[in-house]
Amino acid sequence: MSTHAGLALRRLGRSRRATVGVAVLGVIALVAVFAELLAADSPILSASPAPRVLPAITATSPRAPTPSPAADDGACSGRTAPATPADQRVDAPGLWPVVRWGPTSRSGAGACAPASRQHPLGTDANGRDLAARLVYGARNALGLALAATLIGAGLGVALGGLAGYHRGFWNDRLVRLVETVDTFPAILVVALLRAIEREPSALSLVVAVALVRWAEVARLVRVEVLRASTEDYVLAARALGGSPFHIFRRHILPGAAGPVAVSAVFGLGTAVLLEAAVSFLGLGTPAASASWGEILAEGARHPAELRLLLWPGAALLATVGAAFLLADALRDALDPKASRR
Amino acid sequence: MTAPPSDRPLLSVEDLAVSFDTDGGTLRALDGVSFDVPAGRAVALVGESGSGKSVTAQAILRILPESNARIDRGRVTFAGTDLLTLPERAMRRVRGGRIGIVFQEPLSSLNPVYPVGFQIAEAVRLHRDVSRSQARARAVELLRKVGFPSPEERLDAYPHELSGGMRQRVMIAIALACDPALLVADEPTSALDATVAAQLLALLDELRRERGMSLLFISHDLDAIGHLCDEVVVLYAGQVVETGHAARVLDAPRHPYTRARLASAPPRISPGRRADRAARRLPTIEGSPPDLRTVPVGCRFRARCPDAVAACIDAPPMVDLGDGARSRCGLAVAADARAAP
Repeated sequence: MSTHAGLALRRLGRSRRATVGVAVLGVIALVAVFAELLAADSPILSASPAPRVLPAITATSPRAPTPSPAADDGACSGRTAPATPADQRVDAPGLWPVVRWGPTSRSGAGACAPASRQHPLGTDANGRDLAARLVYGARNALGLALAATLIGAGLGVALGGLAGYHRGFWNDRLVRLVETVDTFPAILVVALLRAIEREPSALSLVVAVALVRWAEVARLVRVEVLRASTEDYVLAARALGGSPFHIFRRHILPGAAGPVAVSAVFGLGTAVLLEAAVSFLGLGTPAASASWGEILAEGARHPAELRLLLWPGAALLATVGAAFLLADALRDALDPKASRR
Repeated sequence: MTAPPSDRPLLSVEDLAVSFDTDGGTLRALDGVSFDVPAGRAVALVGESGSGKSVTAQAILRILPESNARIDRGRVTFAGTDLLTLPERAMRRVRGGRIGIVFQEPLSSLNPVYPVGFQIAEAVRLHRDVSRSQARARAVELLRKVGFPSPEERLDAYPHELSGGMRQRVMIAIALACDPALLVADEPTSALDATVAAQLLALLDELRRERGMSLLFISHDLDAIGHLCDEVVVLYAGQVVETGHAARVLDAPRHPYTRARLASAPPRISPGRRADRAARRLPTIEGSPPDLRTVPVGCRFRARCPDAVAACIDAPPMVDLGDGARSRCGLAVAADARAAP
């Protein structure tokens, strides 16, 4: 619609940082979306007993996952292969994912098994496939960060707009609130929410991150409302009978869209890091689902297994780094004064 | 809303008072302004900068800055309805729907990020329940009306791609989008050069006559007023000092301020008189208008008035001089008495 957005997009296309950021984030997002095709307990396509596509998703009751008692965490020393032979999967007919293990099923290879044909990256301290944990960890991290960022941005736009429009009452309170939220470490908010709720859930983590993230967006939007309110075209829109909401959406929000987008992409990286930190502390999503932070925590408990630190660390670095690169490039592309590169 | 009786004016401003809260105290921008705009007539609002012309226009539409402006008292009756007591929602239908306004600066009054066709269509869609394509068709029609030779081609032009005159034509098209009964033109030609301004005024006059629309024309271009308007309202320091038929006020002003103002206007240059006119210096009005934060007692023009007498220390009432002429000057009555033996 606007030439400004078009110009910014063209500039973004020319930026190498943006290209790298989009590519890396894109790959990780694809991994997250198509996790079932990369690692699963069941084949993508199986002919027997009945022809099925992606039983991991479609089957109502898939092969009962091996119960995963957390008690034997730390059994890395004893690498005796348990009774269940792992090789049964290798022989099963059908089209299998790259890794024939789901994120929660325990492998017969035992805990902390080194890389093998069965487990490309080995297993973790609970005997679960590390590659599968990483793949589903990407889904966990990105999904959560995306949901939290979007909710936070929506909340920020709404409250920032309200504060900019209702100068008196809302403005003062919102500014105080934003300052208060800014001084709150995110991890504390998560811990608080976790203390309140009985069952840890992914939703509470999303809410916690969104609660921390909205403040910055609200501040950006409020400033834009205050700035744009002095513009003649906003007065003209009022004189045309536009409602406050109409004016906000049509004439004010487009100006705030750029800064909000930059903040949201930065926020995405921050939220991924936060999720990892929270999971590292054991406050994360239910233990059954995979998280990079949780793998890191295992790695910290088993210093000898460097794999458990390196792989999730690399995944985190790639995701957060790509998000920051993209946000940085986006900011430059939106800045009319930035020099061409 | 019922149609007003024909003898009642379309717009009637009575005893309007507006003040602004400033750092230096309360600024009384308008103090008891009253005037009428009859249906189908053009009324000029004249006065120097700060006399309250634009404030009057914005007060009529209730688009004064909410943060520091206040309408203290008065009534604005439009087609039988008091606009000042109208609920905001109903007022929005009046703005742009029944009263259109054209601002001084077309470039800043148009949103730079939307094509002009979109902005005209938006004005239509704010008040009429029409589809996008219908609104677009209406935009083409309006652009043709305001003198775009090939409106279809300019529909997707951005404001910065048009000349100043063309931009102002777009503003007029927007103001006329919903066939308002009253058009308020707030110094529509001040930002344009003389030739373009003349074309634009001719267009305004033509459109007004064609539609039987009323026009409140705010300007200090006395020539334009003479051509365009039926009646003149002269503002000085937030008060009406003189009203009357345009030709009469311009030929035989009854208030010393109007007289001084007319004398300080450059004469229309005709070839024969050029030489001696150019040689003469234009007279100016000594001094400067009063600070409206501390309004002087008595006649507000007293300090600068060449005819001031001791009696001017008392606030002069508006004197009816017959035939629609009124003047806020005690001397006008005396002058009349002397003139008529």
